[in-house]
Amino acid sequence: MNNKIVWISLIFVFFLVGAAGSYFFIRFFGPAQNQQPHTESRLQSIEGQDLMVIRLYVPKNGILDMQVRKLPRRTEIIAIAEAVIDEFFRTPEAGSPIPQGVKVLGIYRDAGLNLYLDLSDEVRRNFQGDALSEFLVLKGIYDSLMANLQDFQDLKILVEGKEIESLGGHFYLKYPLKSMLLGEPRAEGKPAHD
Amino acid sequence: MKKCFSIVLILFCLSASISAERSAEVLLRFSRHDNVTKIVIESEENLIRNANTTTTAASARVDFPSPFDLKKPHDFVFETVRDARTLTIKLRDATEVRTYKLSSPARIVIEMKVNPQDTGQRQQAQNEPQKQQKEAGLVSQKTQPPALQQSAQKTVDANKPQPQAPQKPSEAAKPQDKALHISTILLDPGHGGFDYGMYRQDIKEKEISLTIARDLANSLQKKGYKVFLTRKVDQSFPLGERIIFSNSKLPDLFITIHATPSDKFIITTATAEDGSADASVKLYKLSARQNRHLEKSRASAKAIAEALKTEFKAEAIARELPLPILTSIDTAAVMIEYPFTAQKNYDQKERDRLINAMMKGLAGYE
Repeated sequence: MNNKIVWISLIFVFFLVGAAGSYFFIRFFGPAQNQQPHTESRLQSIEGQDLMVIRLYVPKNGILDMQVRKLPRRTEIIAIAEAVIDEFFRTPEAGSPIPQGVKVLGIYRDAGLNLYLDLSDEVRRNFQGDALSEFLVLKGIYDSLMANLQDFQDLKILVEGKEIESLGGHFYLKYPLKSMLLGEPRAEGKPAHD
Repeated sequence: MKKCFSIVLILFCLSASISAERSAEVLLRFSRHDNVTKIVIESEENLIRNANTTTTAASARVDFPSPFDLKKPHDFVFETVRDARTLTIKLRDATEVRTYKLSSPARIVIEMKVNPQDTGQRQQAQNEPQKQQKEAGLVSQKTQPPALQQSAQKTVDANKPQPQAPQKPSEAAKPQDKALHISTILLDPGHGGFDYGMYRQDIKEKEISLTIARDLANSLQKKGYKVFLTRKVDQSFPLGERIIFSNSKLPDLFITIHATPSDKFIITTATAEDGSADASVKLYKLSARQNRHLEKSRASAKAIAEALKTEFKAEAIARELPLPILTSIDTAAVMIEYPFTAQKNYDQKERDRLINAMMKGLAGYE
């Protein structure tokens, strides 16, 4: 009987020791503890890094508003393009026609210096707007790339790797954007405002 | 008694046969492009086929095989003289007059070059009595909506080249109270199928636009216009195919119907093509077909915007955008965007107001 009690007590003590050991191991050597210094070091490295200034053309109140942002410097044209588009779609302001949750799936450049921008389906699904809003979103993407990249002739937007007819049913996405976006919107003799 | 009865019977038969000889309707219209003017005489096929046309520099004479009723629009600038079976149209200062007959609908076309100044003066003279009538309140609101004053002034300026409406079949019930340039209208309800356009809860732009287009088509058809719709049901119809379909129907006016999240009506026309482009390239560039109709498109947009502004006491903005659905259309083309806000539900009453305003706008444009 006594042996039985001793064995049960031992098992209970072992269990407690194991639980406490696991807790202290996770507490001091777990992944959360490991991540903290890494994030801090990344931020420190961004601050220490050389920064580049990019210009974005963001649709706002019926016009394209030029905004300046600072990002870690990139040298590759595709990397710069990706940073510009990421920044363009990053948390749109309330009331902005820029669709939410859009991810850049890829950016390619052909021999003719045409840029292919592959976006996630959210760009089409989450777009809600009229013809001017669609124009401003497309023109905003095009102008933002034009302002920050030197070597590109035209831009074609793909969605989930495929050509689609249109973003919001007003403008073509089947063809490169340059010639379609040449005309400036006007409202009764002035730039278009709502 | 028997004799009397037979005389009465004979007289009855004679009167019946005389009254049965229905005189055909002859419709006159004209169109002008630069200094080329076309007069179209439209009637039943039998009458047109057997008519003899004689033209000189001063007049065109058409001898019909049977009596006819002449109908001509109020702004028909050429003087006409008619008797039972002959119609003479005076063509002063016309050169290179040529005539030809066309079918579907049967018509005689008199094509000539006219000194534009002379036509303008005559048109002005023709418009003068109407203006006086209008001032005296003799012309009804229906035949002369307020916005028509602008277009009347526009037509007086004959020195400006006027875009020519293509020769197309017109309905027998062609309205007499409207001018020549619009007889066929193409309506394009935006989006459709998997493309909802804008939506909130269970209200979708594609459905409202389709309902408005259908209602507008019915109203226009009742007024005698020939109307085509790019889609009559909820179906997907790509932009490119809409453009091809629309250009194949040769309409006089193209209207695409969409929604806007704004609380204002927006009437959009195409942006003018870059002037630096080579003229010969522009002529053949498919996406620049709208260029030669821009003035007409802007005039129609202005008239529709005015009518919507008056009806809804809301702001209506005329805007220009390089929309492919407008730039590639080979006729006057406008996009009407109606407010798609929580306050608007577009029930039957609201739609009727919208259709009425659009109809007034179209009448004003003409």
